[in-house]
Amino acid sequence: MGRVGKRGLFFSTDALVALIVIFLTILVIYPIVTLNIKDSYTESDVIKVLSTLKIGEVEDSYAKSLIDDNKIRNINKSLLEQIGEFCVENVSAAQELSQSVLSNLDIEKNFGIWYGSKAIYLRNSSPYEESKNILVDRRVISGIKEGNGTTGYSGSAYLSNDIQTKYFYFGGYMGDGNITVMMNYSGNLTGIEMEIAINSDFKAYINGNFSGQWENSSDEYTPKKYDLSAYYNNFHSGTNNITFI
Amino acid sequence: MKKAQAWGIDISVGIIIFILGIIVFFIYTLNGSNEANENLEELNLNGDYIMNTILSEGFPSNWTLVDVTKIGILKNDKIDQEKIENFYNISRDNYTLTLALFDTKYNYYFFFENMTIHGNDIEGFGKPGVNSTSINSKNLIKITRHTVYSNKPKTVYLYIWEE
Repeated sequence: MGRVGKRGLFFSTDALVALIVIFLTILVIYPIVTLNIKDSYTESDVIKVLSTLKIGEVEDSYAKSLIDDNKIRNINKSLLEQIGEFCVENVSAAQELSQSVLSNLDIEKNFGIWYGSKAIYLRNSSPYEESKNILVDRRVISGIKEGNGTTGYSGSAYLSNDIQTKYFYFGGYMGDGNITVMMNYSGNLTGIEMEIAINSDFKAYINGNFSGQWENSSDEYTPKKYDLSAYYNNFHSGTNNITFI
Repeated sequence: MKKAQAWGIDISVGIIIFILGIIVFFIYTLNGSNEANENLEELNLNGDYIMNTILSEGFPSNWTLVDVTKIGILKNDKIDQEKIENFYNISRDNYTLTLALFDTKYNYYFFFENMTIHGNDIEGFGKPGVNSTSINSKNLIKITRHTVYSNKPKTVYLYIWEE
């Protein structure tokens, strides 16, 4: 009877153990598979807005008054560059400009702009020091340094060859029968050469103009070079059609 | 009780325990409380994707009503009046096409302050017949982004919801 009783518990216990193992495995693995969703783009959006808008084009009364008062020397600077320049020359102007330009934005979370350690614009309901999660976006402004003049000149010169070599790739096997390919270039041609593997003689038409009758390459696996320079007048800057018949 | 009877009852009890356990697990754990969260996560991802698409140049970059494959309203990182009017036209005339282009099954409504379309001020556009205050849905996500419109910083919003 005792042996029968032990055997009687065997399958039930096994089922319970199996369930417990499955549950534990799922409970351990499940929390790891979570989606990481970015819940705010405010920091990158605002930096992008300030980098995009030029001080001379922004529809803002304070910015226009600064231009009218000749406090802004270069109206082609971005708002971010202008705020950066004010940061080293006139901090209150930087703060007022930021305040004026960003006042219409609907920013629900705590938000701030710093130049180095200097707070330029703050819109927060709780202290920065008590924040738990901080999202940061940075943009480098060149040409300004605290204590130095903000206007200067820099220059560089370089030489380059104005003749370029441009390659157009047919891209492997092109097909059978009449084949037309397109080729783009800009400028003036000084020469053109084509390298293809083709198993029969062919005529070439460049933009519909006959451009020579050519012999096939030795076999369909060994490419042969064809000099089309004599027909370069048939090409024009832009898109060209080359047809093989 | 005979041996064979004891084994038969034990196997039956074991199978019943196992199946009941699995059923209870699926009902209360996987299909229960997480369903709402998963829906919201999916809505959030869809909303992010749609808003990112809208706040791009689209494709082709100078897309028209004829050749659009991706709706984006920016040009040089600013809202382009012609593109936003084209977006408005498509959503008004063929809302389901915009859903297909955004690759979403959810409804959307795009709006911001002082939006001007064809010379008229409108609140926003998206699913025909709704505005920002008339959407009635249990699962509704609001995506907020910032960009430039009419040479001013502008906060733009997208509601996305399921019906």
